[in-house]
Amino acid sequence: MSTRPVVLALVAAGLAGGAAVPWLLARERAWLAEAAALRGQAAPAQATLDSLVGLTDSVRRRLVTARVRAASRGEPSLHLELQRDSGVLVLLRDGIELRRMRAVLLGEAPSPGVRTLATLVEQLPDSSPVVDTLGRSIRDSARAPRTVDRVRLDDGTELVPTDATALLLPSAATGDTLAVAPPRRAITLAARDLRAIRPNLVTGMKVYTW
Amino acid sequence: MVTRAAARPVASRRAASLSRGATVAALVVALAGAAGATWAGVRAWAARTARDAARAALAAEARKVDAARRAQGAVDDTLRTLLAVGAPPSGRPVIVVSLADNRLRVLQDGEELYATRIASGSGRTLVGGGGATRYKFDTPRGRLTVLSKETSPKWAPPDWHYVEKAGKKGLGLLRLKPGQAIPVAGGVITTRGRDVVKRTADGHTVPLRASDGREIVVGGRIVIPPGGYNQRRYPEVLGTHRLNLGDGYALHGTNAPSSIGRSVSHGCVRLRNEDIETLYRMIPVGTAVYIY
Repeated sequence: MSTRPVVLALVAAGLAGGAAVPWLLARERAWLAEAAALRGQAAPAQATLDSLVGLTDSVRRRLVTARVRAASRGEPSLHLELQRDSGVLVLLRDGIELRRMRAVLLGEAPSPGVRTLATLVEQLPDSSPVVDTLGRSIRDSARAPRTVDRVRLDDGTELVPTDATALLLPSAATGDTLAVAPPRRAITLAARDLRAIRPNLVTGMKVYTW
Repeated sequence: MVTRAAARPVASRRAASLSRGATVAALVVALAGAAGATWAGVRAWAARTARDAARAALAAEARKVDAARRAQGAVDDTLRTLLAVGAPPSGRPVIVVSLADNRLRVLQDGEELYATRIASGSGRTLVGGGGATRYKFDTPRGRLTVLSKETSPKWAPPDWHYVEKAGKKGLGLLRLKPGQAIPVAGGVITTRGRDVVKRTADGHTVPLRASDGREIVVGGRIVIPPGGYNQRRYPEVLGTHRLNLGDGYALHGTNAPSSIGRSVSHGCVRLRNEDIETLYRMIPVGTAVYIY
């Protein structure tokens, strides 16, 4: 049997393979260039996606506050609305702003959502000194507890008049110490604002925070 | 001498040697070609794979961007809807009264149209009937409605007015019933039509006059006329206009403008006459009144 056809076929294949090398290398270059171009396009797309995701997160936060705000504005009964960012407390009914008050938050700000007024009046043991008509200190074992007007939300946040901060500190001059612990977090209002809304506050009243 | 027969194998060997050389060379060429093609093919395949991966990654990014855009659009729509919630009814005024500040405001769509000072309930408690009856002079908090409006309103004093006057003057009280006759010097005090009258012994009747602070007094007792009688209708006390809120409460003017700005009324919201006149023109019946 002659080996010539086989040899010729191998030579032809070798030549064809050799001839394909430049084409394959050209294709490689083209595909690498295309891949680089696609990766180049992916970078702005990723940036767009990142910004959209970031935007959506910020919009989602706005959505949470907008939901609380909408619920507050749609609430028909008398309630309070605390606007954390603008430092405003509003007395509202039927979406009508009855009173808009400057509010300063002390401590950790309440998270967005709905709270209720939990405490309006609190009973405390009376530790203030008792004196007789001559000013002598006397002991009184059967003293009724004092009632203290405190407006507190169910998360412990307290409504405090701004001029009450002095009351929260022990007075060295009188030796009198306050039996009421200062609130961990508080919404401070002008005293006249708190006086104006106080008769309208009832236990269970909603406080929308956004 | 090489014979022909001897030369043939030599030529044959040469030819065979040449044939082997060509074959080897051909094999080398074939191997080189195949190796080059394989090398280039592998590189090209890797490049194409990288291209395909980049294309798939870009498509995935594009899908994520589309999804994020759709989500953001939906969120924006929801946000717009939510932010539109809670606006007060458009084009209708509301009245807001602060009792602590003795201040009244007229709002419309969040804008303040009018603001003025008022007098509101004193919060006092009046005890009458020997302690049996208590009258609390508070302005009611909550949402009320303007039920009707009137000009030149006349005040029909409630019972507490007579209790209060009797207490201040140290007098007693006498409730006159329709048709009842109370003997007085020179005749009787009785009723005729919608009037409280004095009938003299000769049968002559004279309607009596009564006003705020000048009530009918008989034998050390203030006479309480029957409800709806003319002697129980005082002009000017309520000023020039009145906006009725129901249950006897109203926004009205006054004949005592110096009381404005204080908590001194018996429960109504009292305004200066020029203010209540403005409200009378500005406020339609049905307007909500929020008192806090």
